[in-house]
Amino acid sequence: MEKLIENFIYKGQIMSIEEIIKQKAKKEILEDENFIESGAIDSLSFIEIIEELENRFNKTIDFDKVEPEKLTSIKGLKEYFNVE
Amino acid sequence: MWNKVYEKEFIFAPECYKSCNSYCCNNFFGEYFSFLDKEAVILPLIDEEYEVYKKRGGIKNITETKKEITFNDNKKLTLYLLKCKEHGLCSPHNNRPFICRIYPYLPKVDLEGNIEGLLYASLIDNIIEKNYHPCPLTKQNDIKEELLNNLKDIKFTPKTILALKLAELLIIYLQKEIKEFINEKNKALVIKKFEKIFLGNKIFKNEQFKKEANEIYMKMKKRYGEFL
Repeated sequence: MEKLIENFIYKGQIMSIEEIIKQKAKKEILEDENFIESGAIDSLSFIEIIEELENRFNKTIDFDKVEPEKLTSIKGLKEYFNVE
Repeated sequence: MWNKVYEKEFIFAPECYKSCNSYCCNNFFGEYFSFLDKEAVILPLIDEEYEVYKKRGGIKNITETKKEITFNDNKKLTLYLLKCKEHGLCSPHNNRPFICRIYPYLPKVDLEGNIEGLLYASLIDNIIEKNYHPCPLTKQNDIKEELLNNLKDIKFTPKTILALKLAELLIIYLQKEIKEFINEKNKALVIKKFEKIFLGNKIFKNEQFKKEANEIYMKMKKRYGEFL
């Protein structure tokens, strides 16, 4: 499947997944860092991020089928939502 | 209503924490959590309570996030979720939210705001500790009477009634989702399921839940007019 353009409108601004995560983060995050484990993103912010990304990409995540661990890094989210 | 709530104590049990290691203010299920905060308890406040809570200065060291529940007419009920890691030592203690003041119970109300019964205040207690609640106050029937008596002069606002009705509905749906996983011997499995439900916002995405939530809201709108 052709990859989506990563940038999309988020709260009135054009932002990438990376920028959204970094905006919510309490500290710098690396692409493959587990941001929950490192404490950069807290659980409530993670739920907000998931909800936002689902709405933006029009794709629902079924956590009965996807292990949440796969979505706790910028890299994992990009892969799941199939963006560059 | 909310100023009155914050000037009142609903349950008087100053030493109860000594026999349960402050169950109400600690996350006793934290050890099983992989994603949700292992230490925190989450305290929901509707916006009108939040305004009063904030005006009084709130509680130190508490972080918060906002959640909006949108109904079919695009009106929203705004909830603030306070993340508390104070383990019972919150300061100032008399600024603690309504949910803490009425713990271990939550009123079950009709559309007029009349109290029909009591649910447990914490979602997890309505599911996992339904049959054996660790809070010592649940073993005392006079506490229920005391709470109901102290709630008598509180006139719930339409938003509060809606929030309480939605909490009741949420508990019903959570119980349905978790039912097959309930197994005292394997709490880790139940908590994992609970976490996944929350991470994926599963109940709020459930079409039947949305339908029933909207029906409650529409009935209230008919009864009270616009209130959101």
